Amino acid sequence: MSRARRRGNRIAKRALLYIAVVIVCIIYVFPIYWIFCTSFKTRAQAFNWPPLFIWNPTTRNYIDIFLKRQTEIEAITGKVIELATGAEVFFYNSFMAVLGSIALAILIGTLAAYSFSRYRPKGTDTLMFFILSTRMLPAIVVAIPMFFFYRKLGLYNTIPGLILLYTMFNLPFAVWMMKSFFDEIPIDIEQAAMVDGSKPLKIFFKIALPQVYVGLAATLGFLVINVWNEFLFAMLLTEKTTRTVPVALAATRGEVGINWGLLAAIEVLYVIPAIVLIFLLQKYLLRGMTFGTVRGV
Amino acid sequence: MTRQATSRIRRRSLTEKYFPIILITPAVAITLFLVIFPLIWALGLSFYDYNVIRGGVMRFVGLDNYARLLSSRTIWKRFVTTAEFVVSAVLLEFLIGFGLAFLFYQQFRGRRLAMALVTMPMLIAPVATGLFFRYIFDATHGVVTYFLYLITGKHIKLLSEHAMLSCVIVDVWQWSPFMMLFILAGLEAVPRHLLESAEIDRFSWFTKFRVVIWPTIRPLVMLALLFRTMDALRTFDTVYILTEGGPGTRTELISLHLYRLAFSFFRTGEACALAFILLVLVILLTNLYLRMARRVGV
Amino acid sequence: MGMNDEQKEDLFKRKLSRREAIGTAGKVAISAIVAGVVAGVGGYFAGSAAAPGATTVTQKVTETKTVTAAAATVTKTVAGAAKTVTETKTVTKTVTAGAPTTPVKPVYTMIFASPEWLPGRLTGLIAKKFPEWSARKLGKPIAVKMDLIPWTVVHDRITTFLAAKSEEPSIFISDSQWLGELYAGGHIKRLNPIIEKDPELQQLINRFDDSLITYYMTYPQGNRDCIVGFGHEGDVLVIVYREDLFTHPDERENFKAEYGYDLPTKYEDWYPAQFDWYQLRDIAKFFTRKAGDELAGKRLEADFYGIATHFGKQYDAIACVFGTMLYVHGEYWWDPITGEVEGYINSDRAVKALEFYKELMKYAPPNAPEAWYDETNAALQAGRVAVIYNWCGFLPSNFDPSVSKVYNVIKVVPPPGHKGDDGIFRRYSTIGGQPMVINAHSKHAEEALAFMKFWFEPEQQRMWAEGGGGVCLKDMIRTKWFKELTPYNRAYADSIPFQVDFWNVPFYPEMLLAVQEEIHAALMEEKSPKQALDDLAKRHKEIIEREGYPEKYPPEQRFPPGLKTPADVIRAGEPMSEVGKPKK
Repeated sequence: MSRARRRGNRIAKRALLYIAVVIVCIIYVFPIYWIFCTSFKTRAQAFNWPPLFIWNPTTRNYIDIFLKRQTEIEAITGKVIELATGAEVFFYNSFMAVLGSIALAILIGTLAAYSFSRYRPKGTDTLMFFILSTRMLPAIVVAIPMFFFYRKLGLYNTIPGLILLYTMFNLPFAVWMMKSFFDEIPIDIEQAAMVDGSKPLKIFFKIALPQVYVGLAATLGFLVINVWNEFLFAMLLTEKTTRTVPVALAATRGEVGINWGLLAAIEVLYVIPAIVLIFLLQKYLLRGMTFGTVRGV
Repeated sequence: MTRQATSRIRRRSLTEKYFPIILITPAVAITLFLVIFPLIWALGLSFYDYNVIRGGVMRFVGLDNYARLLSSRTIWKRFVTTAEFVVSAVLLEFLIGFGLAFLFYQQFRGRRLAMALVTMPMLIAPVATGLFFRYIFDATHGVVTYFLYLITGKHIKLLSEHAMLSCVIVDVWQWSPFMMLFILAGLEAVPRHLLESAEIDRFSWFTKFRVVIWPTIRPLVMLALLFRTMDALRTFDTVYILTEGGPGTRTELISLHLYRLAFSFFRTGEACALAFILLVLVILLTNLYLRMARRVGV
Repeated sequence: MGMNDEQKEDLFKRKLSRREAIGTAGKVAISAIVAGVVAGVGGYFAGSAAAPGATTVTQKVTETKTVTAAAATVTKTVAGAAKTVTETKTVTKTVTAGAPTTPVKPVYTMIFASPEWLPGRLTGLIAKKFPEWSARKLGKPIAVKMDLIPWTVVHDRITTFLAAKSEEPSIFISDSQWLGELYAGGHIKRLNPIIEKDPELQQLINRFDDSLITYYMTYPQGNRDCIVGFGHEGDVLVIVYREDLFTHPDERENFKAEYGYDLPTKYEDWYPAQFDWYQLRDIAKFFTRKAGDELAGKRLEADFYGIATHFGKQYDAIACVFGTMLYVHGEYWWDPITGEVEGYINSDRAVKALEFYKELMKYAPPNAPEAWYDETNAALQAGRVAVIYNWCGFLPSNFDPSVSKVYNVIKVVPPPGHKGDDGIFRRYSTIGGQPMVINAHSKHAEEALAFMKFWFEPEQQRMWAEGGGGVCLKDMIRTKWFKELTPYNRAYADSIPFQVDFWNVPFYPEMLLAVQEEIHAALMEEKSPKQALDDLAKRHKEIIEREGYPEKYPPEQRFPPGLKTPADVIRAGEPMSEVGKPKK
């Protein structure tokens, strides 16, 4: 093949590649783009046919999330009843529950993972499987007993209660991933330190932990994906004061049916931090998976 | 890549005897506390005929609930529907994930941005996903319906006439990036020098794949398949919102049925029994996977 | 034990990446936390200007003030007595509703659990006046706080509370179907003994329309001997139509030419005139047009549809609308006394009803098989349908200019009836709305009943009506003031007497799901109507047998034999007020 022809082929292949990438991105992003657009539409604009790609945007929905909202009744009876929505509480609750549970899960999970990896206490395999099995349960089974449980313990409708629950959701991921990362790094340095008489805890913090920072970042990323959108338990175990955003999304179905604009706006606000976080952690997500699980489970 | 073995550290002092136990205690305690107690409660309940809202007498019925469930034609139909959903979704996610992984394996400008865009679907709340796809697929107002209308001139009723397809599409849209991430990670872990030597030896693409690539990515693929299957089996939110199990019962997954048993009919005992049947199923699947993974000598 | 160079290098590389990692991970962690805190705090400050829960009602108030002339204070005997001047002032006041003149500290706070929608929030507003009222009437101030639960999960949450036998909420909203389930579980009590001792409560009961008592307040339905709740939010299905289309000369001409009678123009043409569902079907067929056709003198850009209503599988969407079809064809779901379904739900009349229901779908928008109240409204608001049959409680947005394209050209009327083969004209419609009930586990039943008395006082009911709530009291809904308050109140008031409900027995959820599944299958042409109804009858029979109804049920939960059931009344075509009366 002539050199020119080969170059021609390469350019063609390159072009095809870019086209494929663009098409793929469009397919995956379009629904999200549509949600984003809907958040700037009024209800009338949202239901137009043909669907509007160009319209007069409004920020009413975003304002409605936090500030007073007027009801439709005003248009008819002339009576104004303004009702506050107070969605800032939902965002606050969600962030607290997610960040708190991730921090706890990483702390507890990493400690446990280190122990499983290095010391292999009796029953390690069973315990590891046991911790993983919590992920297999259909959540509904645990839901009703959990409701009674939480009420008895006074954890119902509390943020700490929610944090505790989400920590439990996060533990399997945290323990399994961190164990794989610990399994990866050579034990020699720690053994050397042991011989030299260092305390085990110091070895953990000074030697083992620094080597798995990449793993920590990867775990962080996956845990975020794990609990960011939890719905069922949040719905059952909270009332208005501790409600999280996913439950609030379901609550937008009110007297006007589904409030599409408001729903879109809340979702957009809620998903942005997650997207930012994952974007920054992208590199580690990939490296983390390689590190951890290429060896197998 | 060199293999590192995890060796036992010689126990030397008292602290090392208790230290490992202390480390694992919080994790095990939480799991025990928040999972096992409710589980045992639920297991116990599955042996009774109990309606949580109607209260009344709790009748012990032994394995009656299980027998009734396993012999019920409706339940088997639900399992078949669920299998249809899970197999289609996971298979498609696998294939598409593979394709995407190979695509993103190439280096090109804007790769990082493109990858971020493609992983966004995983971050959208299932409630929002379900509601919005319902809106987008709506036969009268939906934007996808509009595109199809431009192509075919007809209002295609995606959610009524192609209900299972709609549910599968939504699941694939949301989770194929998950597969892609795993497979891509595996691809990037393939040792460069092996690839290069395969090139030099003029291996065919197929052989290259079989000998060099597949062994490396196999464990990751298996793990991804495992996670996705487990999660697909438990799918509830999106399908419930999209079609509510309809039309008729065409997309009534076992998870929907379980939800109805537990929260609509309040046949609590039976619901617990069904949940345990599901649990056993998932455990069996997991064990199958673990056995296969071990056999590969990983 | 030393490290070889390779290991050292590895570690070195890792050290680098570790530094990177700390850098980035740290940055990420900090930015995540900061973002979270900023969003939370920022939002909090934005919202704290509006103290959550505070509500403002702007009213025009005419105040009459009596002013005593200042001269009176000075004991100056000027031509006798001090002058009393009466001044009439018109004052526009911004009233923060519920702020009592003397702030009372409640000795106890009751919880009222309600779905999270306008009626729920409105109830909370009105309830703010209760501490002052109870301080006056009961001697101790009690507060009532709302627990608002999203609609999608309200049943789950309330039943989870009750299963745990919580004391609170003392009062909660129950869908009319749930009454049996709640009573059988001991979560609500029979209130008759208390009512008999209290003349005020007896008077109150009489202020409700019969059909509301039957379906909102008694279990079994119509059994006055077992009153378990009070009507809270009344809701009915009504017809909303495009008056501009119906009064357009071209359309009227064409319609008359094709069908031989005029399109209805006035309220009276629909009610009390005996307007028929089959006539409405003709109208729907007439108005179903394709893009490019003409409608009211204009060329259509998109397809136009005749009628939109509920055909979807959600909850009770089908059961309610199909229920209406069933009743106007002279049939009912079953015989409540014996539990017999054969010959009821699958009788010829029922099959005819289903065939009619299916036919209506031909003239409905394409998303009909998924449609519930929201989609129905959306079709009307987008100006794509001529007639809708939807819940009154969801109508307000159709009149809002910022939401609805047709806000000023629609009118609301009661639904039609149907004259069957037996020559009897039957007009029935499925009831919606919710009663409110008192938690049997609550220790404050007395105070809760006091709240009921407070709630139904004229002043509170006025606020309820003005705010958009569905009033349940006969005396109020028959007033001119009420009927003119909103465009749909007149239809609402006129529809109340002929409302019908389906089963409220404890096993209704399974019955309901069977209805939804089978009939949806028939609508989607997976089965013939006859087949679907036969299968439905079979499923219902299974459920009823398994439940052991009525034999295994305690006598007070069985429908009293010798009294007219809804089935008797509907089959005979009698008015709903006959339910519960002795059979001749």
